[in-house]
Amino acid sequence: MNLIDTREMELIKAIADKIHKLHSLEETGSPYKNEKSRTSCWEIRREGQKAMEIMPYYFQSPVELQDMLTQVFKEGLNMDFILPVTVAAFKQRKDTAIKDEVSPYIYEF
Amino acid sequence: MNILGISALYHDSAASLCCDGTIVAAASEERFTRKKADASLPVNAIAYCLSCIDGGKEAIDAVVYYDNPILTLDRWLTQCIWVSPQNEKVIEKTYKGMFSDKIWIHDRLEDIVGTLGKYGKLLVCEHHISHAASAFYPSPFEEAAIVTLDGVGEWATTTIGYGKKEEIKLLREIKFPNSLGLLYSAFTYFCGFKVNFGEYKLMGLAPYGEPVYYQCIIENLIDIKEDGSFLLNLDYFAYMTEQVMTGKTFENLFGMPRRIPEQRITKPYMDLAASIQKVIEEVVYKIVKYARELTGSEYLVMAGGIALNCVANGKIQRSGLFKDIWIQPAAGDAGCAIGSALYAEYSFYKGKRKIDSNDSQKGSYLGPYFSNGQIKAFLEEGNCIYHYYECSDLFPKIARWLAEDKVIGIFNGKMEFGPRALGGRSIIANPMASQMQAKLNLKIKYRESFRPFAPAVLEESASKYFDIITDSPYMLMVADVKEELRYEPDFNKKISSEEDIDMLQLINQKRSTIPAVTHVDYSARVQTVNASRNPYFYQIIKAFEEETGCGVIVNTSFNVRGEPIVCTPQDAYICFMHTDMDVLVLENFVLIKEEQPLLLEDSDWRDEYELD
Repeated sequence: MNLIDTREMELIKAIADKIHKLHSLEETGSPYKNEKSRTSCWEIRREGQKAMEIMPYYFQSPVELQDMLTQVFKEGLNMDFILPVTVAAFKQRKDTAIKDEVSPYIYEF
Repeated sequence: MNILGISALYHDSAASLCCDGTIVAAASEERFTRKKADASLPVNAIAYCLSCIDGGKEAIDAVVYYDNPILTLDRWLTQCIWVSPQNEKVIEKTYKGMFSDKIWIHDRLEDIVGTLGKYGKLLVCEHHISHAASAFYPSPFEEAAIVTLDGVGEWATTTIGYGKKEEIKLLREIKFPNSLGLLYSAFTYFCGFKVNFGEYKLMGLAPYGEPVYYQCIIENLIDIKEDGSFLLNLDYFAYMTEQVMTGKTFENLFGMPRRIPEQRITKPYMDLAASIQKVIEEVVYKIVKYARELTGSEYLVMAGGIALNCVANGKIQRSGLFKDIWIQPAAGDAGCAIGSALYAEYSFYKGKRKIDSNDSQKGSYLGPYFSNGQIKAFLEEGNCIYHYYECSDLFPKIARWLAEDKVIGIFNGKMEFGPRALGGRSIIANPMASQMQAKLNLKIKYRESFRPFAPAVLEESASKYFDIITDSPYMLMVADVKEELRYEPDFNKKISSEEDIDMLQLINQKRSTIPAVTHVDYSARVQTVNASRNPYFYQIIKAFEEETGCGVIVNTSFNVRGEPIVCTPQDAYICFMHTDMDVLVLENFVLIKEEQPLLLEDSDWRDEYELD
């Protein structure tokens, strides 16, 4: 955990949050039934959606991610477990990281 | 700027070269590897594009990939969590695809292109922006509403945008798993056709059925809002959790099993095809209507796989909702190779857009070209028996053969980019012969007998034969055959579900004066041809009109079932020899089937191509 900087920690939390939200969705039922009363399903598109906000770094290797997912599935959606596993799976790889958009909808890779 | 655009690793890999906003070259990898919808890195297509510029890879300023791998990874990861832990097998199966190349695309392309152009780093463009750019920039419009509709790209499945001069903005989107493309693919799969291959077959099957399941679909499978947005009821689809599109719940809903591929097509599957076609037309119309309101534009451009649904396109055009519409001919993912390159030109390099009042797609003749000299060398080497004719003699000869109901392979100029053969790599025939549709399907193309053929018509004569209000150079609009040309067939009773349908009897009915291109509902997927886009092809049809009085010919792609459209003279010769085609015309060289030496092969060529 000491090797993780603040920014990485925030991102890991964001992913953990996503897992949590999806878990909540399972408890509340099908999105189809929940959203049928809506009059529109269009989402407003944000200009220049930043990939950085979602996942800035690659996993060090595909195997690490596979290991992480395998463990997540084994343990179920247990937040106490997911967070440290996710942390362990992330390594900084700034050399190949996708950069902020250089123009709307276009990125440097 | 010289920009290389790449679409790869999902399906229909392709490359394009755009120089200062001009589309110089574009080709799909499948045409070179002879593997349909080839998803591999487009090594050959890239090599072709680089051969079209002096200096090759050294002259390239930037390389652009059409999809943001990180956003796609995010969607994949979310889906993994969504379906876990019960469906680990799906994750295991999709895992390799996700990690073998996709997120290392910059490394893979660097291996092929070198330093990734003068810019030195790979640019990645969002998937639906690539589609939107492929539709807007080559269009003849200064500003337009943009609609993209496909299976999924990163997170988005459907978008509405607006383009003006060099700028494109996406305004609305619908995200995975709600997808019109996946909905249509689910029915494609259920009706026994291959996903990503058979969608156009489903569209062709629809006119044989009645939309009796329409209500069932909109009550159970899709919730369509007034503004065209929609939700899918995932209880009925399997694509989230399995490697198939539909499962037991879908079968139970319609009270029938999935049709086994290649089995006889019965009435209920025709009705399903008709029903989902009606639903798609309704949703697409509502979406473009909302796009009209949202953007205020009187012009529409479209791309994405669903934009190849020419029946829906024809209805939009005839609705009068827009003054004009333009659809990217390579509307599927291949076209994103063009879109991503053009987007980099205008958004990143701030180039100035040049608008052509016809369009900037160059008739979609963007692939490899072979000169008479190259063709002659090939024919000599292969000991083929050939005749050479100047154009003034050639076109009347072709017209005469067509009038004698001969089937002719045509190979001229640059290969088309996109799924349609537009006279560059086409098989042509006489549309007035009533048995021609069955003959072409069963003896030439070796494909299902129900599938219709498209007419290529002289642009100036189009309204004489079809209810068409504008030109259709890319075969993306369906129009009805004129009422006065129609016949009432003898065998025209409605097909009942109990009946054993004789499809051939139905198909061979003479429905109009041009029966080979008249579908069972009197519709036709029209290509209008003028002398400026393809003078060679125009002259053939013109000569046929002079010979017979008919300004229409049958135009189908130069391939057999499961085979990509031919690219080289060798591909064309082999396809010609494998089928019952009578004549092959390679530019100014003519080959007559009965004069050719036997083609000796070690194995059955039918094993080479997997049925699509």
